[in-house]
Amino acid sequence: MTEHLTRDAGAISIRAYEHAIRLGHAYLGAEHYLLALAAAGQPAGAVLRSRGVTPERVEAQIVALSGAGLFGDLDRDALTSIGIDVDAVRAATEASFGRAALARTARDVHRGPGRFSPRRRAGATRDGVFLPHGPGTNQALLSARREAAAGHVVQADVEHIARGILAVSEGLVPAILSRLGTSGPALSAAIADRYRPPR
Amino acid sequence: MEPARDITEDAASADPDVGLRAVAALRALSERLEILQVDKARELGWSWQQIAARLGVTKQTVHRKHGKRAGRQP
Repeated sequence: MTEHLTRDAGAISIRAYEHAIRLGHAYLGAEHYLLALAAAGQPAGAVLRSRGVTPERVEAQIVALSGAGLFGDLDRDALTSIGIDVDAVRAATEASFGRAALARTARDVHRGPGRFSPRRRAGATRDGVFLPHGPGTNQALLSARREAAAGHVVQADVEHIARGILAVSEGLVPAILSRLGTSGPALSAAIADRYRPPR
Repeated sequence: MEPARDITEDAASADPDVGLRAVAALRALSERLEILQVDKARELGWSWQQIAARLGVTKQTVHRKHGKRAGRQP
């Protein structure tokens, strides 16, 4: 997959994977790419942040919407009321078992019927941990490559990945953007504008 | 982010709504910790009997619950 991406775009891809693992998700979703893009140093990241799509806000929405992760869907407030700090439990178990084990267990716990078809084997592997692509990821990456081809470049850059992610109709991205008071098309147009060469 | 809740107030309220939700969440938390621990123990070569003894349940119970998942080779 990485041969289709520029170095910067490849770095976004790796960051997205790391976010998925850190959040304890058993899949690599378009929302993890959005989170990585919101923190990106490239102009696409700056456009997102200038319109309120900041890493903090995206992450809060992912956590609120996905309810996945090994501990992410537990009732934090109720547990806090009896003196259990879910973040402390997560930190302690991560230290003992490693993030990969937590993600694997999350996959067992949250294995929903038919959410990810076993035929959909596309995904990413790092340190031996395979994360299947979640809803929207294949669509976004395909669309990024089309954007790159339309711009007559071989490798998709951060701009193309961003526009691919913003065009996604599946998964959490549309809901996250709507809850942040914006939309994929609006942000995509702003990014295209930013990258348009001056005449 | 929500503002930090007053923990002592929550606990002292003895509101069954919060209390029961806490019990349910605690049960879910304990289930997940059990999966992590059992899988690790199996990886380290522990027998179902050894695991069951620590959990305070029978070997059959722990095998029925975890055998299919943790029995597979990693």
